Amino acid sequence: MVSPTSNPAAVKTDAQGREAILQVRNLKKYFPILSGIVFQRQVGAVKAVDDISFDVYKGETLGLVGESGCGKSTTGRTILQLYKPTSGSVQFEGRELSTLPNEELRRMRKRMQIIFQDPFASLNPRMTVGAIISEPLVIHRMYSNKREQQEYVENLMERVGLNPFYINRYPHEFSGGQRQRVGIARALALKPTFIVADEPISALDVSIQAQVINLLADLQQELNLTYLFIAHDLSMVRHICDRVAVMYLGKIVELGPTDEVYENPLHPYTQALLSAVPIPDPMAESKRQRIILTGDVPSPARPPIGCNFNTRCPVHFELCHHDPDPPLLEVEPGRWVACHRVSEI
Amino acid sequence: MIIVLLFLAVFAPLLSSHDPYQVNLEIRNQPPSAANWLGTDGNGRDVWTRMIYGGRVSLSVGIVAVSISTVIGVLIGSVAGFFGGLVDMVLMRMTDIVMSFPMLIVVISFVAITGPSIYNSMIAIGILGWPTMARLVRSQFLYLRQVEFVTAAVALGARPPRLIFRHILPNTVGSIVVAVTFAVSDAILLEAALSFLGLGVQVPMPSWGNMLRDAQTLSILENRPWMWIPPGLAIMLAVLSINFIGDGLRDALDPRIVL
Repeated sequence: MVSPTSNPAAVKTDAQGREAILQVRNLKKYFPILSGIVFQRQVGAVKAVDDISFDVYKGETLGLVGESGCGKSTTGRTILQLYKPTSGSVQFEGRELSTLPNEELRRMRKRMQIIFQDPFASLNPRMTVGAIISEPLVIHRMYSNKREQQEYVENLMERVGLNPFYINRYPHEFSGGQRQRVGIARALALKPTFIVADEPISALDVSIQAQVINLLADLQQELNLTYLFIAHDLSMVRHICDRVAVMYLGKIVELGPTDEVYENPLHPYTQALLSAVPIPDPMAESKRQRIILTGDVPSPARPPIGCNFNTRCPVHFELCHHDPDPPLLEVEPGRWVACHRVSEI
Repeated sequence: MIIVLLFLAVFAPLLSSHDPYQVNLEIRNQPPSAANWLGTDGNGRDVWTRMIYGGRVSLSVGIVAVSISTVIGVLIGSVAGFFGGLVDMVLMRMTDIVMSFPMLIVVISFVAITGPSIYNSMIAIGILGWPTMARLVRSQFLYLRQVEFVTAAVALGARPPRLIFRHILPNTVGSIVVAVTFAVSDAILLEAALSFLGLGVQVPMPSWGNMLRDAQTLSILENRPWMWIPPGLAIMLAVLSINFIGDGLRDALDPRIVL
């Protein structure tokens, strides 16, 4: 059942023949821990993203889930080169981003955008909403005619559900949900093909979350967008993602089609994580068995030897405590798991 | 209040029929009267006239000196804060060195070498006042550099000049303005101190500081308060009102606060 020979790098298209728009290979992002005041030296590293590989296919939504601090957001930002990767490669539309010269990278940014988690911190308080949304157009000199640009911005505002009448207002005059729409409009202004949605709804009220999610889903259909959807709300991920990757301590532990992963999680961490999701059916809910993990997440500055999950894993054994840690292997077509005991589970 | 003081300074010639340099020994040490509103000094010059002319000198020294130090400080602070690393370290050690000079003594030595005059006071106060501004701007930049809306601008493909001038600097304006106003009042005080010591603005040109200096004998302090209360009060009011302006401007420049 386990096929150790299949290498993610070889996969260019998925089962339905969709092409990979983004290929991430052995991506690492370590943040150095410095010590000393004048002459600083590195005394360690926080392994925020530790050797992850995956593909994102055109038109799909790939969910990236995991608990706080597991490296989800860092992964998203490192892919977009907002953080310089420590090592590894990121290929977007066939071009290697990590070695691209600055000017060319700037041009590539038209094709890939990000929506931020906190709609209060991600908008410049001193710019009007119109200026914020038109900024990408100005940077990339998309319009020479001010009136056309304004018209485009107004259309965009309307498309994301904002009244164009408010074009000259400042972000602080808007609610959280409206601000997030401004952030979405800004990300869409350049008509990108790929968007990293970095927990776009977790800072919003529950009633607003559904609206924003539906907006994102509509826009995806309409503009044929590809999303990397970072979240920790597992029910939301199930609702909108085609595939899901589960991260733990800087590594992907499981990756597969959303329904299959939710119906039949293979990694013990995924099982524990999913057992925490309430089921909206009282009969089923009363039978739900929670798997309670003991202990805390180890520090990403000092991950355990062997499998990262061995300190909390309910099924760990000898092998899990030795290097090397279990590789992410394709156990069924399209289903990847990193666990020594996957064949027994 | 500062508007009144500025108004007095700008329109000084219109508000007084006297010449601030006109010595008239017949009316020495006169108490306030209808002809000389605030009396006359030891050389028979009109104190009111000298005070409003002195305001021109004191306020312009304050403003010019602070403009010099703000330009230098903002420049050094932004570069250090934005680029960080080695650039930051070199610039900040320079700042530390300048900052570690006892300001008044260095200003005095500078003026002693170049000769006391109004312009040398401006330059001396200006080129020694920038470290505080540089530190402030740098710390704001360090903070704002990693704020999400700056990251967002990077993700949009913005180049460093745009990040600095469009995103970071406008958000530091509030603190810069406040620091500037405090620096102006400090500079006015420092000019007054220099002139009082005889190293700033030279007589017969009036400044609040050297008016106080001329009034430092015991008999004047005891018997002729019209010679020292007006310039002293002017310094106090100027400093106080500039500080109030700083607070007001900070609120007015922040679009989040609705006045």
